[in-house]
Amino acid sequence: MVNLLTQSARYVLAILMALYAMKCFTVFRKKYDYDRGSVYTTQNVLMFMIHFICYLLIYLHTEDIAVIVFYLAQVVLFATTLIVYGIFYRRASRLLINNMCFLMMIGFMMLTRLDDADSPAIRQFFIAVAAVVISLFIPVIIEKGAFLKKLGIAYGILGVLLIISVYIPGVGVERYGATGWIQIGPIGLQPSELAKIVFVFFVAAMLYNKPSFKRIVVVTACAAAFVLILVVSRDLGAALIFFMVYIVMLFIASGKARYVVLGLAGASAAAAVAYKLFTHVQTRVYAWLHPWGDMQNRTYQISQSLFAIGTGGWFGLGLYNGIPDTIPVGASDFIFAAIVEEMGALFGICLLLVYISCFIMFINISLQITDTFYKLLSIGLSVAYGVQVILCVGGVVKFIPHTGVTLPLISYGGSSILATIIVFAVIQGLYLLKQREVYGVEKKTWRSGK
Amino acid sequence: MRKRRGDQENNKNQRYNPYDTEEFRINLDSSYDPIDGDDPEDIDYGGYNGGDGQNYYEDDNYIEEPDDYSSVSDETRIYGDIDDGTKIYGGYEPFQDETDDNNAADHLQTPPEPESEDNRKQKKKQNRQIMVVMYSILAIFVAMIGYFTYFDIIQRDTFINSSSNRRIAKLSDTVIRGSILASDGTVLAETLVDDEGNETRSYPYKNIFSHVVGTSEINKSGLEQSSEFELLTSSLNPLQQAYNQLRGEKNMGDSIVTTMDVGLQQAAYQALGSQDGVVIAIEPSTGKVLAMVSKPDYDPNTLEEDYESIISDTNSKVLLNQATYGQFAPGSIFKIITALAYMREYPDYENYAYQCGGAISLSSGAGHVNLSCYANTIHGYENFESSFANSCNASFANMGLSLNFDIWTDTAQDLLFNQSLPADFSCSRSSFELDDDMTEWEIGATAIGQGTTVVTPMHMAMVTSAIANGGVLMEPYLVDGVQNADGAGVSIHNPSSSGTLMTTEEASKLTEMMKSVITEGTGTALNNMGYEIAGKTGTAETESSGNNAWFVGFAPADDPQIAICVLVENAETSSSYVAVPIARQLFAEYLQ
Repeated sequence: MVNLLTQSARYVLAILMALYAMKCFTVFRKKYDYDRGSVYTTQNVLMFMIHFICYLLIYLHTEDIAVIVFYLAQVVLFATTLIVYGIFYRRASRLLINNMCFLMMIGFMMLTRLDDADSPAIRQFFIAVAAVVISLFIPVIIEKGAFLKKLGIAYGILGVLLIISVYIPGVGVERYGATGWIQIGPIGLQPSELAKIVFVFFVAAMLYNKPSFKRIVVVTACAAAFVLILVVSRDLGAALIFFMVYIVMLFIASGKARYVVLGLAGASAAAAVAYKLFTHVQTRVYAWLHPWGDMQNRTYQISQSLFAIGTGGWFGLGLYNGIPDTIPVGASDFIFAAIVEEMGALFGICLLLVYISCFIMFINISLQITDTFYKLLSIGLSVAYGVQVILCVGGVVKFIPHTGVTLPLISYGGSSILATIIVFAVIQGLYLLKQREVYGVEKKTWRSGK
Repeated sequence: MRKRRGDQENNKNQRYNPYDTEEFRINLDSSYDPIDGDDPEDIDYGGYNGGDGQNYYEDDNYIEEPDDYSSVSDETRIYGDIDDGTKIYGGYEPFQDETDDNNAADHLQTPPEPESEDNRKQKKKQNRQIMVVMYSILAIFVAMIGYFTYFDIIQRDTFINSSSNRRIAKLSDTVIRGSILASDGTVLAETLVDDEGNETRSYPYKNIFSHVVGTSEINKSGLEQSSEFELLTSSLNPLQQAYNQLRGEKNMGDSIVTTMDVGLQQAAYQALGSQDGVVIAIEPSTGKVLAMVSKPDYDPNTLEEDYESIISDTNSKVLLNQATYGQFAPGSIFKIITALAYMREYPDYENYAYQCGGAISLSSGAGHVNLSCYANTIHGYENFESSFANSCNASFANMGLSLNFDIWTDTAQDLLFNQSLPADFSCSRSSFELDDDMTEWEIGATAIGQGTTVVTPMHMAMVTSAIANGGVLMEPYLVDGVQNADGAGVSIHNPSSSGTLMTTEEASKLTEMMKSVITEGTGTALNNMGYEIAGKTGTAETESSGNNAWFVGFAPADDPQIAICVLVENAETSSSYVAVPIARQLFAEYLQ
């Protein structure tokens, strides 16, 4: 009986997911706000349905009352987030809020499914609650933050401190073959996740005001230092994200395509050198080219991931019918494989569409924003987000070599979810800024009334 | 300065916009489309660059900026209503600006300027560049989804049925493993369920199909392993499946229909008798594997009990399918490859002549050594064809010495040496190597299949099948199709070519020569069958044990229905008396 439900839920979930993903794009076609409103409400209904079905299945399989409590706590979190944004940021982008909540739902659900002794799902939940609370203040800071663009050097120093913190003895720890973590008391952090945001602020603050060639050279050298430190820390994914972000921001700030060409040429050369110098780079490339080559060792991760994805097929094996716990780092870097194994490739593709919809929305905001600093800020964050999704999913499905980055909002990892929620909040703040300009008259009326 | 700005702004506004807020709101709601990503121009509200407040302060010439809106170009006017909106914003009373103690962001309080044409152009350019970035990243997303889809359609199967994939076992929680059937539907393996729901896998033919079918529990192998996903997937009517699940019953998995010919397999099994070795039969025009026997073998029904004692002998080959994984010295059947290389290098090979004295003296590391013909037979005067028919070692060593290594290596490559074999089951590689330091003796030995060359029996069967099929190799396969438990078809395998190994002319010349092996050479025991047979014998000497007696061939020679490869290990005498009689029984069984 439980299995029959699980089996039929595969199709129901795929259909609901497809509808949700579709709504993410139909919203772009609607001309008027009140039309969009109904789309967003439909999305809310769909996401809570998917969430409910998944947790029903999890409960039926585990028969653990704690699951129900956890489920209800999540419903409270998501409902509160949606309502609070609705009240305090009436003009905020509901598409972004919906997608943020939806992706977090999928993340919590999958982490509960993968649950082991450490209870990462509950840990993740508390971090998310904290992150959401913090994020509520970010739009205000963005709005009031004329000073934000004047802190260029400060960002640079903070960013470097963050990424070299992993080398401080007693603080830095090594995980999954990368020195990318720090441990302060009970809190483990992956500083490069937060450094990413600081880096974008840094570059935006340095380049927004028609940079001279000299300044471009200096900033480029700083950016190169960031990337180099990350490569040495074996955080290849972060290094690539920083690199792409910088190239794009430089391109937009300077308007010169030759910087992109130069940058890509330089990166190719650097990649070739890195390949020669670092065995961890060679291993990643080897595993990408020969997933069957050395399955006990070098290609263990990718081959397990491909087994999971391949066996899952279009509709997945159904929750609890697979063995996603055999995928190495299945809760963080490889969570996409775990999702596809049990929920199916169609679900996975729809998930990607949701990510793409967020990305388009991000970019849209950078198109609308007229202030160059904010424009750079939003394009930098958009690219960081888009590239991260591509690196993560691409690595898992063997589209590109695996670089070890998390799937935003879904993967386990406090720093990752905190950083992504902050990015969403910053973008949301920029969106509000734009809305405020357009609807500014409202404020005026209010002030006059005072 | 602020005061001046305010005044000016105020004037501008009054001159420009008698701001009717309500009207503006309506205007905006209908025209402002904040998330229409399709058209960046729509949202380039260049007219009110709040953020440029800083520029404003820094720009001493700001007063000279055009504030006469009548001079704004048409292009700007397109965005007119939005520009108007900013004027409302600019309409902030200056005193409010000053009393505003929270030091709100410049971008909110700076009176927006009607931007210079240059600035507008720059913003537009930036937005174009952002669009370029967006489309590039979206293109990567699309490519990734495309690859993911491709993986799920094309590459999926190879990953599913890998022995390292531990997911398959989970499927048996809800599905009863399906049956493996011969081409005529005879059951080769099935799962029997007793009244208490206990499942046992049964193999009615015991040892006869052991290596082909394999086992599902211990030592997972053969079709039981490679087709496991199909066997553990049920393609019954979904309603019926749902009904079964509701009653708490498992569904019946799909059946694999193999290409196996039960009669031929039994004949091969019996003909090989108690000897170790391999028999393979392939239909050349399709690649269907009709029979595949490898001895020593085991009874899959009792393997679990016998397993410990089998693996206690580390040299045991009982669990090894030697047809696909065994690697053997080819002996004289390799002369097919040497002959083909000679034909390619010397188009006048018909003029080849050699006087065989029973041996040829070749220099080696330890002086001159004789390489002799089998049983020191003196073949006398021979041409190309009779050298092949007699399997004359001296003559072939002589040919080998005149061969260009590149042509020889290329020919072996064309015939699939040193590469993975194209087949729907996995095989070991055959290896063939030449190097410039080889002595005459080593070259001569290589020419007659004795050197370092090793081959798998399946590879030799494939080469033979390609010769029979005019040079085109049909990819060998074991699974003809999948059907559900009720016998309805789920999928079928269509024969496919894996390429041309040699030209039609080369294939027909080799066929002629292989016919003469039967009519006048070492395979005369295959005469008088009622149809012509083409074949080649081989007796390879091995270091450890006795001879490997080989026979490869096909029949009828002019319309091949079956290609076979026979290998008998530890043969005490030559191939003609060991392998050829087995071949005769196979031809007799299949072409009766």
